[in-house]
This record gives sequence, C-alpha cells and structure tokens, in this order.
Amino acid sequence: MLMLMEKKSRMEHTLTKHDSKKSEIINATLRCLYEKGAEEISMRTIAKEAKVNQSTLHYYFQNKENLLINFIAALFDKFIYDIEKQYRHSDPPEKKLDAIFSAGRTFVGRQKELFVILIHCWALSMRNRTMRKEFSDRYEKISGLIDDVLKEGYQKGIFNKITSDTFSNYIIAFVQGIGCQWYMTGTSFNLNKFFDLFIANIKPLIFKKTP
Amino acid sequence: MKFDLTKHEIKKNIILNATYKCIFRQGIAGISMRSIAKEAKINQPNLHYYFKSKENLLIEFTRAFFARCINDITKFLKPSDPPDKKLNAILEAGKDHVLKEKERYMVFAEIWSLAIKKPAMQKIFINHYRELYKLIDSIIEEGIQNGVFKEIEKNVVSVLFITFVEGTGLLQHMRKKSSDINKQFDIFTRTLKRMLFKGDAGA
Repeated sequence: MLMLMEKKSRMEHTLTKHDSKKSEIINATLRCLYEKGAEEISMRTIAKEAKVNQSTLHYYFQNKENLLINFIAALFDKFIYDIEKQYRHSDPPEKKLDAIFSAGRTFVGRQKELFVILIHCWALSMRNRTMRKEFSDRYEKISGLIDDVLKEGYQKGIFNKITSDTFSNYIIAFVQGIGCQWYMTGTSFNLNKFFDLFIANIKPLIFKKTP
Repeated sequence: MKFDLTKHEIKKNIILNATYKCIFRQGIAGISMRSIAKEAKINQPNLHYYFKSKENLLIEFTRAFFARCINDITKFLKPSDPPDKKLNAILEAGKDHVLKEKERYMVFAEIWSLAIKKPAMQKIFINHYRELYKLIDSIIEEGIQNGVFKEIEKNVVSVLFITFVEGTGLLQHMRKKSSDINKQFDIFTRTLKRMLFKGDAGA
C-alpha cells in the first residue's frame, strides 16, 4: 500500500495516538491524490479513504489547505530522509554527492506515485500563497542540503569553487525535468542512461580533477 | 506566413485563449464550460457547438498550447544559419521561455497533472515531445554531417534540452528565492558543448 508516513517513527519511539491518526490521514491523502488527481480531491474523499468521519478529519486538520500543507511537508521530509539515509555525516563529500544523485535516480525511476503527486501538488500550490510558501521553503531545504555538500567539498579541496546554489538548482531541475518527460512519454527512453550522462557531464565541472 | 482564418477558426481561437486565461487564474480544478463561455463572451450552447465537451476542449487546448511552444522556438531559428548557431538559438529560445513565461509553466503543470490520468491528452504530450525531438535532432544531424559536431546518439540532446528547460522553469517559478537563470544556462551550455564539440571547445 502506498505510504508516506510509517506507523512507527524512525527514531524508534512509538507515536502518540494523535500522531498516528495524523499519519494515517496523510497516507490516505497520498492515495487520493494519486488515484483522483489534483482536481478531484476533497476533504470528503480523503475522510472516506482514511476511514474517519469528516468531523474527525476536521479535528486533525482544520481545512483542506492545512491538510495539504502538512502533506507537502511530509512529502519533502521523505525526499530529504531518502537522501540523508544514504550517507553518514562523517562520509567524504564525494560520497555524499553520489548519494544525492542516487536518491534522485531512485525517486524518478522507482517512485512513480510520489513523482506524479509532486507535480499534482505543484499545480495545487501555485495559486495558494500558504501552500506555495510551504513548497518553496521545502525546496530551499533540499537545495540547502546539496549546497552544504558542495561547499564541504570545496573546503576540503576536492571540489572546484563553484556557485553551489546554481549547481544545486541545476541538479534539482534535472531530476524533476527528466521525470516529467519520462513518465509523460510512457517511460519511452532509458532513464539510467540519461542519469549516467548527466552525472558524467556535471562531475568534471564540480571536481577539481576527474575522479 | 499568414493564413486567412475562417470565422469558425477565429471563434475557436477566441475560446482557446479564454481557456488559457481561465486555467491560469483558476486552475484546471476550478474551470467549467460555464466559466470559459463567460470569459470568451459567448453563450454556453454556442460553446458546445465549437467544442462538444470540456474534455474535447481541453484536448484542443493542449494541442494549441504546444503548437505555440514549437512556434516560439522556430522563430528563433534561421534555416540558413550553421548548426552551431542554430544550437545557440535554441538555447536562447529556452532561456527566453524560462524567464518570461511564468504563466505557461503554471498552465503546463496543470495540464501535465491532468494528462497523466487521461490517455487522449497524454498522446498530445507525446506528439509534442516527438516534434521537439525531430526539430532539435535535425540540427544535431546537420552538425554531424558538416563535421562540426561529434557523432552522438539520436534524441540525446533533445531529451536533455527539454529536461533542462522544463525542470528549470518549474523550479524557478515555484521558489520564492529566484536563482540565477543565466548561470544555470551557462552550465547547461557547457555540458552540451562538451558532448557535441570536438577537441576542447566545451572544456
């Protein structure tokens, strides 16, 4: 079953009942968004999917906007978690960079649902100031994470002095751009080939010497 | 080239423009045949005469939306230019698109989000991508023939170009903090040149 939040937290403490209900609702939102798309999702359909009544749903999330903001936060938390679980803080920056590329590859190649939902959320957020702010802030977090790796690489003398902000955007743009095209064309091209090509061509710009 | 549009085509164009405005303002979720008729200043039966259903209208709309994208690129191209100049022109067209067309990225995300669930719309996306591949590949092919570009597999440059322009545009128009688009195009141009040019031209 499609899930964004696990019942048990990764920190291995048990979630309170309140939190676990919230997680269930977030997961139900995920399934609704994927099945119905952005234009048909409502508090009613989400309540039904989560098997709670509407007043309970409103107790946890005051309105659809508030629910979707929490949903976007959870979606991006998962992206960040998926990147960070691949390396340790003490790992060298080149290993961290590889982990970032590999997380991007996995996200596009193996998580169609999450990718499609990201674009649905994009469409939903564009006209809503609060949702858009959430979206924008979360993008900032991911690009900040890549930024830090690039800066660390420079400080350790492995990477070139590059505008890390530009490069992190460049990487994020590639990941979402290739996914948009790949899924829309019915996965008509070899995704791995393009990831390899992208990585092979960006590395010489980042690394001081070709690794 | 100018065509003499029939009255029927002119009316259809007015409706498609109204649809664009409606999607931009309200999103696909918020639009209806009623709101589009109102925006186009025609009555609903009249709208139904031109487009039998909302689905039919959205399909025609998507087709027109992409036709304009192709048109925007081709107007940057001069057939007599050498292929490396054409490549630069395509990159300029891409940059122009990312910088100036915020509205269109919004509408793009809307129709993407709808088309992923509707095969008839998805087909229009696929045809559009194919047409873009053909356009860009013809330039690359010309460059290979002339000995300016290295041999490179078909579609590679076109897939990368579309990836970069769509991805950068989507990111740019969602983030509050805008990034330096010129610098991002600079990286992309450098990587493309590494792939295409012989010797150290791209290094």
